[in-house]
Amino acid sequence: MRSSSFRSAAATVVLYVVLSLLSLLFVFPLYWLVVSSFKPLSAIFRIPFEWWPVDWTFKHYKDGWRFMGSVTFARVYLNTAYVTIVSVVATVFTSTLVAFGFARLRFFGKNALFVALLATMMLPTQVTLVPTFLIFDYLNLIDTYAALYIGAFFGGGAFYIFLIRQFIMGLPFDLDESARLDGASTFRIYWSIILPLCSPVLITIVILSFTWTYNDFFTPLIFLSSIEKFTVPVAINTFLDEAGTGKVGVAIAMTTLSVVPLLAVFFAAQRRFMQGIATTGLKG
Amino acid sequence: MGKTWKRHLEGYLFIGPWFIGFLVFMLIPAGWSLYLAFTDFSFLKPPVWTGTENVRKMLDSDVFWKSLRITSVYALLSVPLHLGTALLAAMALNVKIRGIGFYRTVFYLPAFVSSSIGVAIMWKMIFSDSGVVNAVLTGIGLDRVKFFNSPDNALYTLVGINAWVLGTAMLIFLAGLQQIPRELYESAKVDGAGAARRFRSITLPLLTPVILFNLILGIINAMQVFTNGFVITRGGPAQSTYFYVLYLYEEAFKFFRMGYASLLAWVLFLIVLLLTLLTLRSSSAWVFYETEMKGGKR
Amino acid sequence: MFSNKRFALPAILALFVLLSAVLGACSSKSGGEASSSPSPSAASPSQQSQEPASPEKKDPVTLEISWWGGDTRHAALQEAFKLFQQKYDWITVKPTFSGFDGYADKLTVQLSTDNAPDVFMFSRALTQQFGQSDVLLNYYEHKELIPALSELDPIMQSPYYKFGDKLIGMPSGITSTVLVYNKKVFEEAQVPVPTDDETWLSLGEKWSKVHQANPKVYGDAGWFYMPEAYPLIMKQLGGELIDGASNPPKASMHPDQARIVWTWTEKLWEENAIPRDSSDTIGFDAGNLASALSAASVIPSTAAMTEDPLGFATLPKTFDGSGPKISMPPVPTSLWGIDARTKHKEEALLLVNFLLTDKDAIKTLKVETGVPAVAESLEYLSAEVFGGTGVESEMLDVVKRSQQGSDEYWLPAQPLGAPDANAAFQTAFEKYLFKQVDIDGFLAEAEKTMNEKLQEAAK
Repeated sequence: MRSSSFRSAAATVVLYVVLSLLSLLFVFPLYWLVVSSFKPLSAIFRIPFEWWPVDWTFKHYKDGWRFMGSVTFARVYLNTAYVTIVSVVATVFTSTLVAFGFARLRFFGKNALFVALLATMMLPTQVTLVPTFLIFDYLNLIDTYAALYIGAFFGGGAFYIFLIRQFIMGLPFDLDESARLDGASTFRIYWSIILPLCSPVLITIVILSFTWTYNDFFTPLIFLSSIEKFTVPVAINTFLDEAGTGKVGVAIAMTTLSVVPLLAVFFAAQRRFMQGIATTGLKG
Repeated sequence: MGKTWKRHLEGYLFIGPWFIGFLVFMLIPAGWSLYLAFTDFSFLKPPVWTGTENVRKMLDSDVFWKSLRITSVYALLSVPLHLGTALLAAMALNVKIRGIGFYRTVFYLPAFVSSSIGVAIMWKMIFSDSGVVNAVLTGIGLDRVKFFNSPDNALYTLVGINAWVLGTAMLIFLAGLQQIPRELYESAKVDGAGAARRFRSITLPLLTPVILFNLILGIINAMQVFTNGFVITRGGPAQSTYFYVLYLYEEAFKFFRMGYASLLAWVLFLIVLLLTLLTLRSSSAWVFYETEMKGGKR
Repeated sequence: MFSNKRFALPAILALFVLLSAVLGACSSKSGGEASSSPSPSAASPSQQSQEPASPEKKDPVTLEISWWGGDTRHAALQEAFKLFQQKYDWITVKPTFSGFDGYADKLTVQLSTDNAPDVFMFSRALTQQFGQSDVLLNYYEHKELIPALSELDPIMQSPYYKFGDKLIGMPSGITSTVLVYNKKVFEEAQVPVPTDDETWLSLGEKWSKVHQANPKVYGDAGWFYMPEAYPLIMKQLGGELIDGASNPPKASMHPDQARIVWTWTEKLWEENAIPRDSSDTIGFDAGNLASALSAASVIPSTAAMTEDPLGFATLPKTFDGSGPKISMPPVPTSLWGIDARTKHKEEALLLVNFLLTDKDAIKTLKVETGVPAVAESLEYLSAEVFGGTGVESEMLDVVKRSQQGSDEYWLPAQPLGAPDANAAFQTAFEKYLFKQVDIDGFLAEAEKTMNEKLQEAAK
């Protein structure tokens, strides 16, 4: 008894050491961004790398936050928050609906449609850009926030649907069966039985769709023109000219800043992983 | 009879949101680009039908075969490596110890940073000849490595960066591990199964639906690899990282041969579709859905 | 998690209702500002000779314009448009701008779908692609509205501005490839700084000496500037890489001259005066670079990256001092194009002409979009705005100097297929650079693949 608890304590210590060492590896890119964002422009590229800034400056943050004319980065963050929140909420609802349909219901052409769903991830977007632009133009979506989140209302993309479908397929089928015998409607099975059991994957979906919408550069670049609608990545892009030099310090500072909301959301969301287990324990 | 009809309708209602989006935002553009694949289209003039001219050109092109080869090598190395490291990391992080949330966040960090724009400079600085990684290598007495500045190494450096960014795959494995009921492990422990045994007979089988997902996504993403080749290496040096989609992109937006680029896109589409279908077909042999265990219907 | 969700859901809904309200309010506010900004009062005095007379009374017009750049260019152009709106009070300018990445892709899609802004900046690398259709306005058909055109016409006889007989771009500014050097590095090595009278050989000697004095420093960042400088050096030795006059156009590597250049280069590589294959951590910002070939237009941002004093010289006009002195004429930094389908041609042309010639605009733009192309504007900027001091003044001066003192001004031919041929050259060259082929293999492959591309394009 005693030796086994000693062994597990030792194992925990080893685990901490290993995780901490690996963490050094993973934290480095962010570390590079953070220290560089406080260095004067001429020190960012100095060789060898300055592990700690010799001269500190907050200029990049001040210059960056001011952004452009009457539009400050506060506005940029409001835009991004709006688009991201709408996207995440819509994605969670529509993608689970569709995934439930593919995982649990039987209808004509399901397998073919499922392959079609997967296939939508396989055609490089570069070649569908022109017709997509025309369709968006026809629907009056050009230079609107809606252009950035409309996809979320149509299942959010094959990635999320496929992912949730895989998780639902891993849930026992008798749950549905017994609920159905009790007279539950299909929607009720989806809403009250399957969704709660999916919480780990729903958290994953929240994290992923948040990160992707938040960091998406190409969609806002193509479909937005008004600076007062810009989201974080396109706003950072305006500091970088073709030489890729000019305001590199500002771009680095604003990129560093942009990681903060992502970190907060990730950290808050992953805590729920643990709480999810208790609920899933019910099954089987 | 009426009941079956209702059941089909119900299915369509659930998948409806996606299906409408699919028809409007996917099928129309895809059909249009399929037509373009057999035309000469330079963006600013109406497309001109050229039949199989683009196909002939593609098969004759050295660059087509070269970029396809580079991309395949990348996918072959990158998919197993990326999934392997992501699974290991997810298992290490799937423990209940104090402060695990901190480690999870840290392990996910490269994914936040690497997808932001303006970080190409960072990767170049880290892996440059006098960069931080080389400083560390020489510090511990090893030789300098030319990571990006060598046609022999650049591709492998990109494979390495991809393995380093555990991101999505790790998160999904973690969610999959979370979904496995604790009781199964506990009863296996009572039965005297060791850690390796528990991994083989509980973790692995119950994780297979998620592994299938990550595998298919891994293949799709690896075959479409673009961003790092575009912003960090620009396809070089000596075209050693000239990925297929990079080739496609340059044909379209640098040389304005959108018709030809559309053909390239559809060829890649068919290759990836074939790989995906083969993977799906094989999955019945190794993917284990709980539904089956309980004798339920799929 | 689920019990919490019941609580979280209304909270999230409330949050984004709030957000949309805030965003909606802000949008309408900023929209209002933009449309009320043109004030009729301050029309500039008509001292400028090149301005067409502004008509009496017009219906309001909104002009869309797009460009790429960094934040200082964005600020300068927006300021210039304010001045424009004051002068032409019936026109409102709606600006769209972004960084460089993705700008050209977006513009191409916009042009393709008839969604482009009325006026837009485009890269000189795209003139030949854009010119193949009639989507861009031909400035020659509206000479009367661009008085500056007649003065600029001689420098615009190049494929950067023209496709065939059509003139589809006016320069946002001009630039030349020049030699930028770090004065401090040369001083510390006790090597005289480069002058306008260097030959490539004498410049190479200076690179070697600087490197010998301080092994950490390189004379130049390497041979990655190939596409522009190599054809010039070959021309100075008497070999033209692409003969655009023959049909189909023909590429030839001129092995005798090429060997002279590459033997010289190999020597510099061996001495480590310039690096063979590692340019990525060498720069003025890293403090280990003596000199570099660079577009004059990026001088201000290069200067901002380092605390060391920089100096500027023109490119060598000859390889070894023999033969005629040959330079390249200035090229446009980028171009202003007009969508031929615009409903506001006249206003679009007014705007382009304003940016080229209006003194207030020149004073505002300074060198943000390049060196002013019109001589009078350049004079005004250098004498009255900069007053002959500062890095911008030196930049104007070196661009001016690179237009003087040569026997011949020459640009490489750019027939159809030139972008493909140049890419093919680069591929073959990199194989040589990384020792996958030798000089002969490189020259043979370059000639073969370039000709294939040129023939294919001519079909």
